[in-house]
Amino acid sequence: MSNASHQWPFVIAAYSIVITATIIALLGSWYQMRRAEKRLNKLSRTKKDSPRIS
Amino acid sequence: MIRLANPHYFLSLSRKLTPWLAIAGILFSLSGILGGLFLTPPDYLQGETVRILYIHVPTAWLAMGGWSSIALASLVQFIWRHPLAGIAAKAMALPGALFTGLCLLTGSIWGRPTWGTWWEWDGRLTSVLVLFFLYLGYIALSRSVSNYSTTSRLPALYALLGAINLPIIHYSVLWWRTLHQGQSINLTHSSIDPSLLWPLPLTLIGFSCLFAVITLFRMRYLLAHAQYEARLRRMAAL
Repeated sequence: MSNASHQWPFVIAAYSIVITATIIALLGSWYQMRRAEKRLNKLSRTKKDSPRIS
Repeated sequence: MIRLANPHYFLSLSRKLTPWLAIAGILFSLSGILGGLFLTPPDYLQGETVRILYIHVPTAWLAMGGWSSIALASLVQFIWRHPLAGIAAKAMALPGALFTGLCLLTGSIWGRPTWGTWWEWDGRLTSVLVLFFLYLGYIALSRSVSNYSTTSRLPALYALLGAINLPIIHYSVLWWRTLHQGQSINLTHSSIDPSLLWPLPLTLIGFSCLFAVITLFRMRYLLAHAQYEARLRRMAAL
């Protein structure tokens, strides 16, 4: 464990994987939620706008 | 608890809570990561690779904490039929699986320079791999039982049975002493020097907040999707 320069690539790889995966999970879940909520709002508006048949 | 069962109350609370959790998560994680990478000394035995500790331990904590929370939500779904409990359990499965995968990956990367191998069928490593497969099984089961149904009890039963693996993971380092080191931190004592230990609580809090943010986003997605499906069904029935 004496050669520190050989150890840094392992440290950088581990941090890169965790940070990238966390950012992707955060953005992916946010985008999925926004899309679902927009779709729901659009449907609610369509329902309100449609003429009533009685 | 009963108030939280109301999806409207939950949605308004989650909208207020999410930005604060996200800010806290980013600040705590960043300060812990920067502290762990640049401000702590290398370990006398492991050298620079000890820095992987500050991301490996939070991922392991969230892997086990995620399943514990899924099991708890499943229990609430079983006993009180809490409408949001099933959704919360389903929402936590994906980030739980992700952090379990990250725990295995960072452990493997740490193991190569420290143990000289990427993988060993050691008790701790194998039981965490089993947890990863349990997560994948839970995701597949909850999707296949019925699309985003909150009433199905089969995934809840699976989650409760899967919780048997949690004490096995915890005690694996005592039962099978192979490559993975024993427990070095508990609630009252730590065998790690304070000069190395201080960034760990920061990354633990930070990643836990980010896990909560992902879970809240996914809960809101599942609720919106369920409402959308229900409205479509009602419109089709008219």
